[in-house]
Amino acid sequence: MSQAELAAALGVSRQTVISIEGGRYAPSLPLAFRIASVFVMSVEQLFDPEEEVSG
Amino acid sequence: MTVSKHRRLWTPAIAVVAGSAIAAAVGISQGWWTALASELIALAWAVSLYLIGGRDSDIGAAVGAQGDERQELVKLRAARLCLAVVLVAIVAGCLIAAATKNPIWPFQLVAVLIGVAYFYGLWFYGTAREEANAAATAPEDHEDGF
Repeated sequence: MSQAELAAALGVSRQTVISIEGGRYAPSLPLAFRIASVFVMSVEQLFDPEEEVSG
Repeated sequence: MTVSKHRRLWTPAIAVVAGSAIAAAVGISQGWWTALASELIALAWAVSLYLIGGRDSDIGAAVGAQGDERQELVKLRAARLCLAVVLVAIVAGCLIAAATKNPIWPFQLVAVLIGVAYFYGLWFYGTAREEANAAATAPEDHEDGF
């Protein structure tokens, strides 16, 4: 799945997908749940609460 | 994310209206050729904003009057920086006006408006909105007390 396809599936911009992937932006809870839903995973599996968000 | 043409028109439309108002004021005081030049600058600015608003970028989303949650955050941070610059400009303008024996009331007026808007924003987006949301939710929806 490309970043553009994921962005379209989530209803966000491609730049936001890139920022989340790069760890520069922590998504809101609703967006985190949408991402988890797209990848059929739990939020805990996708995001590490210990990880610092840079920027 | 594609930016709809309808929302893209908002910022350029505001630029045209504000630019036309300024051009009219210029026309009254300085003549209509100067006003025409002012209007052309406003139109060029509006066209630029429309083109920028269609770009697939954070700036495009901001100018195109839409964006996702991260872009809204980016816009808020940019607005905060913009406000800080405006406040510094007001203080500098006030100092220069006072030193050159010019009226400082326009600067004071803008400063008061910004201050009032700031505290209104704190109230509206803080407790007022939360209380309004709580009031809009029927008490029977929260029988579990949560």
